[in-house]
Amino acid sequence: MTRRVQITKGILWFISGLAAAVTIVRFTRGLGTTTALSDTTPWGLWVGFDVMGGVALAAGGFVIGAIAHVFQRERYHHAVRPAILTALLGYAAVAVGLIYDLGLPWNIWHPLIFWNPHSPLFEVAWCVMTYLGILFLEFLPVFLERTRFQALYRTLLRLQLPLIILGISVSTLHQSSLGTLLLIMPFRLHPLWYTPHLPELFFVSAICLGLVMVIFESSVTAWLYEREPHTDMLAGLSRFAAGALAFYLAFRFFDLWHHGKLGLAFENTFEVRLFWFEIAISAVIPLVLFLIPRVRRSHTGVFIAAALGVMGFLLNRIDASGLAQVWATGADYFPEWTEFVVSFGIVSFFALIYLFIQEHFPVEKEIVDEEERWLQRQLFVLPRFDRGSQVWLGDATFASRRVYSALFVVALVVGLALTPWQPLVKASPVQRARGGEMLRVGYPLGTVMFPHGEHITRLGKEACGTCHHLHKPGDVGTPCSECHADLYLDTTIFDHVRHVAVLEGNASCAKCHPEGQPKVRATARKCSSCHEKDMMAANTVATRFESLAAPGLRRAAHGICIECHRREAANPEWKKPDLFRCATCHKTPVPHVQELRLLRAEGGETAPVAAGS
Amino acid sequence: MLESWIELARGPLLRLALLAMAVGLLRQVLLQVWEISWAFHRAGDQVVPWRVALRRNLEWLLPWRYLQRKERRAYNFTSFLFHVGVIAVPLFLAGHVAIWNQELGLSWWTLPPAVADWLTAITVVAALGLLLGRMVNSASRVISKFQDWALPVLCILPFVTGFWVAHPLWSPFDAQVVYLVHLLSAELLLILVPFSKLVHMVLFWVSQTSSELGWRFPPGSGERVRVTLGKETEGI
Amino acid sequence: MITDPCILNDVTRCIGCEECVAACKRINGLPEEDPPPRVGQSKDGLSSTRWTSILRRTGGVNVRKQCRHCLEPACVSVCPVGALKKTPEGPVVYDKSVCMGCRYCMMGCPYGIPHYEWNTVNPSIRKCILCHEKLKSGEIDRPACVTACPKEATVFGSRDEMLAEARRRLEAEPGTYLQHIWGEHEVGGTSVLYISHVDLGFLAWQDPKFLGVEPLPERTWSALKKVPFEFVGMATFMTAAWWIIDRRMRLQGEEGAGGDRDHDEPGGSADEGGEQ
Repeated sequence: MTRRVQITKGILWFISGLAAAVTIVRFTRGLGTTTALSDTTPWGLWVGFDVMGGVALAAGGFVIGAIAHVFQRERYHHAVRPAILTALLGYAAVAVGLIYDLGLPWNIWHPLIFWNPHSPLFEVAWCVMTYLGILFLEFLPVFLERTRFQALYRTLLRLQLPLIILGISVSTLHQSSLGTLLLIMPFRLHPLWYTPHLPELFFVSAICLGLVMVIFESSVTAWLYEREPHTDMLAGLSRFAAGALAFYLAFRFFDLWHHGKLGLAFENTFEVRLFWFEIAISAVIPLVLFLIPRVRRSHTGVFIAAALGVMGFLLNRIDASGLAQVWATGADYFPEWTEFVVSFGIVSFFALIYLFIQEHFPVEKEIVDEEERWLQRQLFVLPRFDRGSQVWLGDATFASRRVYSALFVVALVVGLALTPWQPLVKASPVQRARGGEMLRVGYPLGTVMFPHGEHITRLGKEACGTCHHLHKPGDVGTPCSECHADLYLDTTIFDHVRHVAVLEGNASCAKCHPEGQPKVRATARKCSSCHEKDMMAANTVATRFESLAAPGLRRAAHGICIECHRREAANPEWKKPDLFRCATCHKTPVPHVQELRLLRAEGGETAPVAAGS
Repeated sequence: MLESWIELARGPLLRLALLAMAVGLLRQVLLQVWEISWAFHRAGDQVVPWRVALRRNLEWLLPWRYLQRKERRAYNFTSFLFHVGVIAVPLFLAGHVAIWNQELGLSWWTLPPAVADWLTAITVVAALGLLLGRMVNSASRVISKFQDWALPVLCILPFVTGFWVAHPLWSPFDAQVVYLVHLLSAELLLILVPFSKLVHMVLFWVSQTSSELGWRFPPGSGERVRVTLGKETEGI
Repeated sequence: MITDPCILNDVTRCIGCEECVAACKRINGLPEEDPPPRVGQSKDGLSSTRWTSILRRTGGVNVRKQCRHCLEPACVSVCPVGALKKTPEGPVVYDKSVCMGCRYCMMGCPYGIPHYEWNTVNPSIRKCILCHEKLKSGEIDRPACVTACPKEATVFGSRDEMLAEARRRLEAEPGTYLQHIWGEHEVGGTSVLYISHVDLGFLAWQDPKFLGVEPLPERTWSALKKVPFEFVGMATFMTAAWWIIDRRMRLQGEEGAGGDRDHDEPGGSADEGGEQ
């Protein structure tokens, strides 16, 4: 185990710890608390990166299987086992990612018994399950190679070729079906991405991503374990990748041209810039780099090209399942940090399993042998002393275990401290409205026009208390926004410091907190027991004033306006019209997404603005 | 301002500190179980003297025999008092039980306020005594590390401030500041438990049991224990 | 219950009183308070607790939005487990016990109708079900929203009746209405129709012209129906490729060429040569 491996593992454990914290919140509080998803953007990072990206990343398994076993290119045999391991763990990671993303994850097995062959996702689910089984059988020999189950080991080796061909066929299906998934949403997906040939395009790009991922991964493991990469193999794979990338580019642009959409690619919009950025880092730059013989033979060159390709094709999946749909929905979706933590945490967790299997099973023989020699050496090394914590760390394996677990625990606690426990709601501060004929209320301002003057004329000046149910000390007719300061969220209106100061210091505790009981909010006196005089008796909410927080303006206003108007309408003597209907107050047009888009494009307005204001 | 800090320290921070302690202690226990089972797996002699190990642990928990020892009697006695206070006051003080009740819905027997006051005072004095003992005895002083000095001081802090919180009139400082210091120092202590030698509150059985089993470890382990203890010059 | 139930919304008659919203909430037992909108959510007023809403447009135009109960619904076709079903009678209904929460239906719906209960650990898809169960059992003879409408802006009948009624109204007042029935043909036709004096393109994510009249499920099915052939084809191709290559290599081996097996890689030797 090299220093690099240890540091990498430390980082991976830390991220896994953060993810573990978010996991707890995700499964006890729901998707609303841990994601920025909404009804307008029901699929986010977890689908785009973990599922769409994950499946495509794991394509290396079937691509290398085809090259090495079906086309029998002997020199790529080195790459087969790591690629199959990546695929196996990649698909397992997809399954785990799905468990996070599904609203009812305990029903994840339902596609087994409830069938809908018309759904691309049903097809994907079946293929992924089948392929996980195939991959496991393909990889099982690695676990069995150094055990006494030699009969089973040899049988599985004989089955290798049929299994690989089966795996290739199943992969063809679900890699392309992930493209089919998006065929149903021509109205969401930008035309630069949407084409009836999405399935074929997804299949080709999966092959590209599979190849660059294998290159990326072998150069990373070589760097981690400080051994020479198989230069010949990498150069060969680079050549394959160049071919695949060229084909992908040709296919994609031919398709655009064929459907007469090439012109779209030269407008100046966010989507077009995104399109060119994606094309550049996924295909064009790696293709150019791979075409240069000197780059193909340089470890750094191959690594950079492959890394760009991996990021580019991941971006392609994220674009297709999200970013390229903003065009239609106009939605502000940016993943919460908790979403990133889970995505990276799953990757980290499976990377740790990958390294563990590499170090303990003959995936790449050099690594496991070196690891065994290293372990033998460790038996004769003195325990290490950590100056920071003043602790003896035991031998090196124990020491690293202590460090990793400490990192995990610290990350877990930090994560739990940072993760929100309440659903994410953006604050919608309420504008202050006071006096005047007509009050513009709500957010955006003017959602509701309240005829203040009309109410005064009709009810008389004495009737202010009907609505103004509580005044701030020293104030009369305190405006709603003073306490109901947010449209949706509760606002704390109790000021302990001020109470202590006004009630003459520490000796006054007993005025609110009864003797012999803990001095906490739960046991304190109700506000209304002192503030009777600040409250108006003649309104509908007076009796409810007991909590230390004021509800959001919407709830407060609906409560006071609708109840009052409903009471009046119900009284046959008053002969009041039924003014408790929504339309009585709500007259502002709702801006629709298409108009929002126009507004943004024209005036640079970032906040949604009602047309009425 | 201070008010909101106290709210933070009393609610989320306290919960977080307790959680950090629980998770951290769980980690320590798991690590030790793992490590001991490995050591046991590799040991030449795999007979476990359960009875001896159990007796050792019980003696350590109820240190009657230790207290009767001749050498360092005062130190042992002070240490005993200190531990009684350190365990009893945080767990059984009426105010604390109210918090547990509020946070966890658990409630149990409480100390009468007067007893709690005296116990607090005794704990503080005992802690000071332990520090003094460590300073005076040259052998103790030599093997003492930074945390051996820092932790007792940190233990004293919540007790002193806690006493002032209960009796604000005797406090020379602002009541809210004292309360905040009380909360924060106690929480720091809770967080430090799994990451310092305070971990002996759950791992005592490891040290007690390993001293019985440890000698069955493979050849050369005695040498490593000696090196670990920093006593290379002495015989085993 | 009539087969092929259908709602006709007449935008010119809607006064925006939201009686339909209140009635919908009552009959479905939905809370009066809606959850606070989530960041980035479109402002059409629909939510998991509000299955129909009134979009207020400039010029005092009120448009009721609700599930369109498409004749060939995209949401039903994409649901991998069949939790959303088009009943034989017509309404599209949801079965929580089958759902796994993938939210593909929300992505697949061109009108953005299915909504989700984000703030719970046991969430459901919520949307208008055209009062299906109560209609079927005969408890009510028309959906609650239709009963509640004081202006006959929303009327109920079989789809043929409603189309006839829509045409009757269009012909009776050709000056008032745009001569188009929204939902007659779009995405294969819907069971909630609109006639209006303003363009209603905003009800979908994209203009109906963009959506076309082809049912959306056709688009995925045209790819999915090829799946068995793709599978067999790919397996055959791979087996054949392996057999041919294997045979060729064995023949080469018999010829005694030996040497590097990679020798036959096209362009390989030239490339290697160029780099040295």
